[in-house]
Amino acid sequence: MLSGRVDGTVANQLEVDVLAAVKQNAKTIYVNLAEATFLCSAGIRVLLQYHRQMKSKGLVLLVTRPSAEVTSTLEMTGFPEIVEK
Amino acid sequence: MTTLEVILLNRRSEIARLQDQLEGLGSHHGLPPRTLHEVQLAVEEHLANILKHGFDDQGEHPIRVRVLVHATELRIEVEDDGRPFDPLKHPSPDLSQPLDTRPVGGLGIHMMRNFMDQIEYRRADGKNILVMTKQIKAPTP
Repeated sequence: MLSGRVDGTVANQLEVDVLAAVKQNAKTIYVNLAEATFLCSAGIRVLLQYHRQMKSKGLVLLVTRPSAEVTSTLEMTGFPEIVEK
Repeated sequence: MTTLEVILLNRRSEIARLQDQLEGLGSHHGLPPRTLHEVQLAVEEHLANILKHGFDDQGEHPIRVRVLVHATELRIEVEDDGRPFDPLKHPSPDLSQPLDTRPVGGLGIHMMRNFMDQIEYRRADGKNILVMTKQIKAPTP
């Protein structure tokens, strides 16, 4: 779960955490953004890059329970598909 | 009218310091949360671009940020001495492409354009000056 502002620094840490989960052969990674107050483009790039990478191997990385702010950003940038339905 | 003027250094932690001050300004003026959120994202993206692309050396560079809050409008001026960079000249990403093949570049500038009502760029005295304006509207119920 990420809370507060998902800025460039938090996006870097998210990438480190996702890579660690990938190394441990995680089949599914959920990123809970219920308490994120904003999501910058660096955060979107990390989510999208690993969403694609996981999907190409038949695995899953999805955003869960996005806050209203995160939802509006993902919709505006055209990436609502990376949210768990 | 209220003015906040901050001189930041070209470090990521400085962006966070400004964001804290913007949140303080937002609560002081009772800015609608959505307005503040959109302004913060536009500021984040612009400053991140300056840090990433603006400077050829590793030295410290001041970035001057002025925020003017009027009754119906919030105006932010950002001035940096980095290489010339007009974000308005960058094309918007093609959001109609499928998710799996769509390039992710240009998203930050796309967010700035969509979240702010007006953006103006000029180069003067060896500095980039970007002025972003956001209308302050009462939140819809």
